Order: sequence, then structure tokens, then C-alpha cells
Amino acid sequence: MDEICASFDHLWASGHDEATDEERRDFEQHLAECPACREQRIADRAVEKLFSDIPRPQLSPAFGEELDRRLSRARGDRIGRPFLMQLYWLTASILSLLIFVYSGNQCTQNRTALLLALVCFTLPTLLLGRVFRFSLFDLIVRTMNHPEKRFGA
Amino acid sequence: MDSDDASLVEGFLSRGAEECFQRLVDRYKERVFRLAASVMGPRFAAEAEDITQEVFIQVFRKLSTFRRESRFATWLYRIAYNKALERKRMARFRFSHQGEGALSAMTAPAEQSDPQKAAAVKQRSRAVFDSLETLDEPYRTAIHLHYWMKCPVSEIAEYLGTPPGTVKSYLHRGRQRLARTLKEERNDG
Repeated sequence: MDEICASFDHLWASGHDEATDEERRDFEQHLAECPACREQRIADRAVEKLFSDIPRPQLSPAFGEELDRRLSRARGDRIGRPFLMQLYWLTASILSLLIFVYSGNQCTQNRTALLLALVCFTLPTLLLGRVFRFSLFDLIVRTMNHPEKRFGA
Repeated sequence: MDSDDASLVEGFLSRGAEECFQRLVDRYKERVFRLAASVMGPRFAAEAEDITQEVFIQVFRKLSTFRRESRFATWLYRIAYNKALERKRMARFRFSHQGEGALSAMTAPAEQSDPQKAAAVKQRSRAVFDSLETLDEPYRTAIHLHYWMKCPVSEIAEYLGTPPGTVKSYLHRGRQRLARTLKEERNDG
């Protein structure tokens, strides 16, 4: 029973209207001689009958409306996120520049330290963001939208 | 049809034409739904519509990451299959009793005059469903797609991203398992 009968394809086809008349004849002939295939056919018919009693689920008429509603929310994310990202980077740049200029007025040592800190923070963030299309801000927005996925599930 | 899909994807990505996306949804929603329902099985089929919606939301968000190395349909079915599998794992854990109830209602013989016969039919149906549940993926989904959704092998092959010959062997193996279960049921009865 566990071995695949060579006439398996015919068995399948004859039960599902995908066989030619010749294939059906061959199969009927084979069936008379092969107990494994007979057993398979019994199973095939039984499973068909079983599933014929179970109604096939259908999409509800409200599917389109509900999808539109959810898409408009997704659309908001899609349009809103790049704008907010730009705003974030613009604000961060202006703030960095202000701090840099302000520290320059204090003393040269501070200015060098701040410049280094800015380069160390900004460059990797920008590069990683470019390469992986990812930023800390994106992570925060995503976590707020999908709290259940905050651990990267 | 493939080139048409490609032009719709292109239209959505380059011009932001949402009617292109809507046409993709109209074209594939029934098929994604059938695939999702088949992965979920009769016990959890009620969740298939929600999965279908989630699939299209994900496609809407991630279409720009589609590399176009494969057909759009292949990419879409892969997303749908994985999402449905993930949901099924959760559903089994969270709603196991609800699923049992849904199955009982579906397998209850509608108008059976002989209560003993009705009980026997119900018991056999349950045994077959239980046997199906023990089948591994993608054998189970292939059986559902074929016997429940009445999909031809060529269509199942497209959904599962395998050659038709492989689908036939999935169905064969599924049938073998079910045949064994039915035989045992007959012997017990």
C-alpha cells in the first residue's frame, strides 16, 4: 500500500475528468489487477464525498470595502512616512549645526570632540539607513503601528 | 497575462497608479483566498478572508521590493502561503476549541433519518479530518486545494510553486494516508 503504483497518474486522472478515454480504459483494466490502486480509488472517492459535504468558503461582498479601508490606512503610512523621515533628518541636521556652531564659540577642543561625535553618529546611521532601508525613526514608527511585532516577529 | 501583470506592477510603482493595484487585487483575490482557505483547512477557514486582506496590504507596502526575477503571481502566492501558515500556527494554539466546533457543525450530516448511521458517518468524517491534520505541509494544502476547492493539478502547482508531477505525488501521499485511515475505520466498524 505504501509503494507508489506505476499507474498512479492514471488513477488520479480517471477520477478527476482529466484523462482521455484511452487512459480511462487502460486504468479500468489496470484497476481490475491492482489491489493497491483499488484501495487508492476507494480513498479518492471517499475523500471527494467527504469534501463535497463541506461548503466551499466564499469571499464576502464586503471584502472590497474592507480592503479599501485598510489600504487607505496603509496609503497614509506610505505617503506619511517619507515626509516625516525628511522632517526628522532636517530637524536633526539643523540641531547638529546649531550645536556645532555654538560649541565653536566655547573652545576648539570642544568643537573637535563634537565634530567627531556627530560624524560617528550621523555617518553610520545614514549609511545603514541607505543600505538596509532602515532607520531608528522607522523602527519607532513600526513599533507604534504594530506593537505585536516589536521583537521582529 | 504575465506581461499584463508586469505592466500593472510597473504602472503602480512608477506612476503610483492605484487603479493598477486595484486590477491586480481583482485578478488575484479569489485565488489568494482559495489558497489561504486551503492552508487553514475547514476548521479555520473563517480566517481566510482576513489573511487575504493582509496579503494585499503587504503587497501594497512591499511591492517595491519585488525583484521581478519571478512572476508576480509566484511572489504573491508565496506571501499568501507563508502568511496563512503563520496564522494557522497561531489559530491552532489560540482557537483550538472554536475550530472543533466549526468542524462538528460542518461534518454533521444534514438530514440523516437513522441516528446510528448519522453518528457513524460523523465519526468517519472526523477520523478523516484528524488524519488530514496529521499530514505535513504541503501535502495537506494540496489535498484541500484539490478535493475541497476543486483546483486542477496545474493550478495547485502554480500556488505551491512546484512542478505538476510533484503535486501529483503530494496528492498520492495524502490519499495513501487517508486510505489507511478509512481502512482502519472500516475494520473497527
